[in-house]
Amino acid sequence: MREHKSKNLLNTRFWFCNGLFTLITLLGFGMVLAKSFRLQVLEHQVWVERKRAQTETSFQVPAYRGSIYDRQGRLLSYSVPQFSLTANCQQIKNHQMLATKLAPILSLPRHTLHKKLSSGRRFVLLKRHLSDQQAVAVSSLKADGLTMITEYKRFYPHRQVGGHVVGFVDTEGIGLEGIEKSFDKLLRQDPTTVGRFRDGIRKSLWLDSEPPPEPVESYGIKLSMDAFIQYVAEFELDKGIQQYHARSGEVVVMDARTSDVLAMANWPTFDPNLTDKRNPDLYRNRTITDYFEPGSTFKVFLVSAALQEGTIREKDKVFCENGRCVLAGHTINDVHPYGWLTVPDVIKHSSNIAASKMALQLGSERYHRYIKAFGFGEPTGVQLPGEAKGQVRPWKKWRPIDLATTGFGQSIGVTALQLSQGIACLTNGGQWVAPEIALEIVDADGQTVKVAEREPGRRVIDKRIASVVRDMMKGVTQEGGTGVNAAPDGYTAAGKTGTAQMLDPETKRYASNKFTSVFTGFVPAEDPRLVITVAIREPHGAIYGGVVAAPVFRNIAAKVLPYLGVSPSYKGTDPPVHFRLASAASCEVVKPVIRVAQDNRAESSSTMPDLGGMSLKQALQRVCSLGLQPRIIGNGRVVSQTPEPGSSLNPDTTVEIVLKDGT
Amino acid sequence: MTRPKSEDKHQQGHRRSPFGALTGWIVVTSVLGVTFVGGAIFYVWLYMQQIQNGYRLAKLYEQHEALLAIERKLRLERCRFQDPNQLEDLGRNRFGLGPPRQDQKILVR
Repeated sequence: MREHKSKNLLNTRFWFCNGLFTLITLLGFGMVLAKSFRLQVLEHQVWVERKRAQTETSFQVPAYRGSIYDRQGRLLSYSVPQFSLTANCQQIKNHQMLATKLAPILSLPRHTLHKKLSSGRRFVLLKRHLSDQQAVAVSSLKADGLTMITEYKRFYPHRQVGGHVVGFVDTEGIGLEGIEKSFDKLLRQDPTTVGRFRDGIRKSLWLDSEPPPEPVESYGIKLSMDAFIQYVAEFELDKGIQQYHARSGEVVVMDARTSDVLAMANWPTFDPNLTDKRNPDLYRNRTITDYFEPGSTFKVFLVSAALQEGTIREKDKVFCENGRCVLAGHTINDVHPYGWLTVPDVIKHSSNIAASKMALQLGSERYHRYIKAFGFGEPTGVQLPGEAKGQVRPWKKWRPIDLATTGFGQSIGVTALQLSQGIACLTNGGQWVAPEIALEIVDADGQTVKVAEREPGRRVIDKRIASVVRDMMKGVTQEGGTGVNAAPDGYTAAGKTGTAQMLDPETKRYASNKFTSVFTGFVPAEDPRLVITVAIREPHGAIYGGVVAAPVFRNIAAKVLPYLGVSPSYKGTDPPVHFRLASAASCEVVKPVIRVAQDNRAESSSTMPDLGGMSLKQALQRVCSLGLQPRIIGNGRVVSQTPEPGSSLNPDTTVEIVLKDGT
Repeated sequence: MTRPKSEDKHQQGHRRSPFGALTGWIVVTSVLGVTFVGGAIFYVWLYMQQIQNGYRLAKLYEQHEALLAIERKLRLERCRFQDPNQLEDLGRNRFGLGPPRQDQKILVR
């Protein structure tokens, strides 16, 4: 009985414990389930976001700014990744020491760096666009809290060549000047942001089935500008400016057949790689922004208009009042006194009096119409920012004296590009075509995507009249003309000189000692390939366009025409004595100088010659002609040599030539 | 009196069946277990490989980007050599070259 009772008690306790355990277990599971439900269902979004924040990150696939090429495919502007240095000040232990270490590497003052590092901020930009050497040096410090981020810097490998045309971008890569500005929307492309996974220590891993996207380069621009022609124009302009200590100058070189702008040179020059771009006087493209009085160069447009309107004929003669005349109540002078001049002679000798008479005969309304038709007083439409329209007042406001002076290029303002375009109109047979600076849109490999559409242009004067005026302009560069200095050796040139007084901004009157010297024209005269305009402001020592600007025109033409494959011609005349002649059929291939010299080892002598003061080329020629092996150290001219001059030689002697700059 | 042979065999088979069933159960369970564990290990291995390849891909991508950057810098360097200014400097100062003298010019007709 007792046994039975204890068995029952055990059974009850067993079942009680069993039930309690089951209940606790179920409650436990229930709580887990409830918590899971809360995490997975009720707070799903919150935890998904937390998971994303901890395991996913985003990065930017770079989109390089489109490149700019010249017409031969030479790179003028190119984006390259560069490191920028940032700091998390909260992770830096010793600000003072780090600033001391970084200062010489970054070329920044130590106290500036220390101030930034002590700011306590989590993100401080210490320096943008480190050089590769600086990046390596900073990495080698292995300092906590320093991070290098990649940014993109614009480089201009040709430096100042075409700097005014290409323009520049700001630190964010937004175009601020030149082509960089006018084609900013095309060249700039925002980077693509792509997500990727990272682990707890922020190490990246790629788990998508698709490969990571490639960095891309946006569309680029191929310009009509030629870097070599641009360089020649800048070089010769610089020479001209230096020779006459002028204040500034501009050159425009255009293709006479297509009106493509081949070069736009400015002085002072501007290198867009330089960081200081606060002075607009340096980077302004004066060929389109600054206008000047064209002086006598404008007579060709007056004569074109007068011939077209029939107010004069080619063989008409104009009396030039022996150099002094009162017209419309004002005295007008010629540089040299002339009597009767034919119209071509008016151009050749540049008579102001004759031009004034022709302008008065033509009348304000008609003359103004032709001035506008030649493209003056309006922007040419070249795709560059900040183009000025020049200064052409409404003809109704012209007084008779204004009409007379406009005939010889005063009371009117033109840009160098407008003047070139007007001359290009004459070389195009009287058809005015808008100038082009951007020829093609290209892809990242430089392949053409789209060719710029050209506008048909407009007819200004008849083809015959244009030809007659061109012939008149040839006389200017011939003997007795004002621009004889403009014709390059072996080529014919045509053009017009101009010397205009400048307005004094203070007195608002013409200054007696400030002039703009201009020459504009085309080469070769018979079959024009280039239209060149040279304007030099405030030259000293000489003022006339035929003396100051014409030689610059000649030097540019002399270098560019052979580059374009235009051969010199001496029709009916013998070439200068210094020219050697060869027929194309018997022309031998000239071997390199050094090779020729090496083959002539029979010339070897037994003593060492004196190479002192020779250029490298001369020294090499001499050494190789003796059958000796040269070893060159340094640049410039020879300052020392081993063996000494006069010492005996054997065929295996190696000659050490030490050169130095500036000797 | 002897039992027929067929009855003996039947009785023997009936006697072996619990052992045979257990063996079969163990075999099936083992195979399933091994397969499951193998599959699980394989799954984990695949996952690990995926993670490792993810790291590798990310690293390769960074290297690729760095190489592209170097390529762009080298292209820039090459373009610098086309700068007519620099070419003239090199020609004049390093190689002692100058413009041709008039007697060095040959007019080909």
